[in-house]
Amino acid sequence: MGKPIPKIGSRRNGRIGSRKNARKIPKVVIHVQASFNNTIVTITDVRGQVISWSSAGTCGFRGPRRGTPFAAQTAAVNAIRTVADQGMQRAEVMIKGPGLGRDAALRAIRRSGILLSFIRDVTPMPHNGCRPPKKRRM
Amino acid sequence: MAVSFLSSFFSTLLPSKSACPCPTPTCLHCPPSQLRLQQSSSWTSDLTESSLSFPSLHARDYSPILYPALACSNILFFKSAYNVQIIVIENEPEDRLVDRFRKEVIRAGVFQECRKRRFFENQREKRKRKSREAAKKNRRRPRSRAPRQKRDEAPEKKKFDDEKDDNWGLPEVDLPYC
Repeated sequence: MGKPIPKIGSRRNGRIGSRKNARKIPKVVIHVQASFNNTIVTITDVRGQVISWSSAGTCGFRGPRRGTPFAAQTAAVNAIRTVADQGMQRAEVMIKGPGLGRDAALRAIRRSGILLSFIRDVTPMPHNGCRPPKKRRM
Repeated sequence: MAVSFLSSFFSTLLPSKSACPCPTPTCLHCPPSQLRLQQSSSWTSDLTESSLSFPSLHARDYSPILYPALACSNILFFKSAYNVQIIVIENEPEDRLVDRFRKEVIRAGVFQECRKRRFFENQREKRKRKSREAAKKNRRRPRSRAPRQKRDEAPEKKKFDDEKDDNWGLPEVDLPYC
């Protein structure tokens, strides 16, 4: 299961961005995790190594405002801005979770002018696995 | 010989599929089939090679014949399982793209699943939810079908019965010794 990464030389390719800041990454995967309380946008390469990330919380929103679509939009814009100069040609978007930030982040990504190849929904669905927490009584 | 049959079947299947017109980049619910069409011809050669490597034919080897799309689902390109996939057309307006994605996600039932699994639901809640869903489903479709069938069959039967039941006249039979 998983990606067959060769063991030799994996340590050398471990981190992106620490030494070579101007490394060109042609294809990029944008992960958007949109929960009810927050939205996290992570930009990784195809192998899954994180290039940069941003979230509604780090963009200055706090509390209930983190879950709003506008916060998701700013998070996406922030994340893409840091990698805009690295020569991305294609991007894939993987959206996870229910939440209001899904569409807003997608719109912001589209508006930023990146070429998108796929948009995928990768919300994890258990096949009746762990028992979820009890119902809230409000 | 059986293996060669399988591989020849594959080779007849695959070129015909690739000869199909380019699929409209609609949303992909079932991953393998549409993706396969877009790959280059190197994929088809890989497939036939891998099919030739099966030494014996079990029942599951007939599944490539029955469900050709699933045959290459484990050789395929994507690394993670996804619920919905959309291929983005160039120069598509963002509104249309977002709407398309949203529609596909709703069709896949992602939001419903998430809501269902957010908190634990006991048996009573589960039964309630199921009956609500069934009521919703029944509200839409079978109302149009079931009464129509009943109406069509009933008058036909009536006609037939009338003719049969009418025994007042003498049967028309050739009497012997007349």
